[in-house]
Amino acid sequence: MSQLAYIHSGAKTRVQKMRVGISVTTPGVPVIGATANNEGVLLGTTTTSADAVGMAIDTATYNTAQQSDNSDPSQTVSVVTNADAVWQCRLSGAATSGSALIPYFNTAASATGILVTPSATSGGSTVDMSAVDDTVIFCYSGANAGVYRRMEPADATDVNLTQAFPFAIAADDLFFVCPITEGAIQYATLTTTLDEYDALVATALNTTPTWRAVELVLNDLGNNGLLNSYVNLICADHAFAGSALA
Amino acid sequence: MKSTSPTILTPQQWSSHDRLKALEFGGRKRGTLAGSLVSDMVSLQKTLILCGDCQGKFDYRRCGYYSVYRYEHQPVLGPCDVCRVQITGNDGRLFLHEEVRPNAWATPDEQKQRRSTQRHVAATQYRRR
Repeated sequence: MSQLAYIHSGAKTRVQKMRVGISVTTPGVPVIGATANNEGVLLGTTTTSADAVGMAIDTATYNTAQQSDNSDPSQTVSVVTNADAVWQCRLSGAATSGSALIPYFNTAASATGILVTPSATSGGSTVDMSAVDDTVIFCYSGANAGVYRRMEPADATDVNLTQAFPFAIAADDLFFVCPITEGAIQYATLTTTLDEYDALVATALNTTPTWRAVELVLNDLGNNGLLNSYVNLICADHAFAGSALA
Repeated sequence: MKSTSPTILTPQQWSSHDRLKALEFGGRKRGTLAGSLVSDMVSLQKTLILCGDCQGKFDYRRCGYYSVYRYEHQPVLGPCDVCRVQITGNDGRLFLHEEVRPNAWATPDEQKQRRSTQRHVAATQYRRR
């Protein structure tokens, strides 16, 4: 689910009804301007929403044929068209919406709080985090629960942190990864149905600068963070923003 | 023979804004009653934008809608679905169907709940001595 969180500039929300060139079956998905030979607005894709006009906040069915009751076959979808609308997307642990994030056990204790050894199981082999370099590792349970740091995985054996956690990291403390940082170099990949953020994808694949993170809303064990964590995204390639990205 | 003045045809340079403008919903068609249009939109669970004059006739509670202004004091901009007036002031109201709203609109309460266990920066900077 992608919900409108707020308008970044503090302006009023602007909603327009736009004719569709494709059926929109789920609210909270990005829509882009019509391309050649299309009747109306279209859906974005998981990695790009170039020339987005906003996010749909209801649904519409695309008809081409004349209707038996002579009603207009043209359908419209309501779109929030503010270029600086911020959308709160749930973090999904897979490309399928609704998946829980993957927790990692810390294998070796770190008294200085500067080293994490993530493993899929308690005491198991270390998981290589080099695919999500320079992104966020969040402490899900333990003394540092609720705190995140940027990770620098030097190799496949552990994860170095440039800044220490406030407390020592104990064995079996749980962590999860959010492969995007607020206002930084990573871009977003959405889930297959375009309504959540795919937190499993490697950062190297997030190359299309359409959606950028404004802030992270990550939750620890006390608030069921594996199913209840979010990233607030803003569109960096909006049709009404007056600028075009290469 | 009747003389006609020459017509100069200038190719129109349509901008992307013009093309998107053409996709916009034209509003209620001539001959359609306002109540019928709203009733149809409610049955499809469509989002409604109503101006100051039209909103009083819409009972959002009875129709199962969430009023953004009622709960968030947030007006909306856009064309009124009923009378087509372009709302530019503070009297525009947005109504989302209760079944659609959870997928498209985060209420202040939801956003507060999602941040309830976030560790605050202030907890480390302004700790009592």
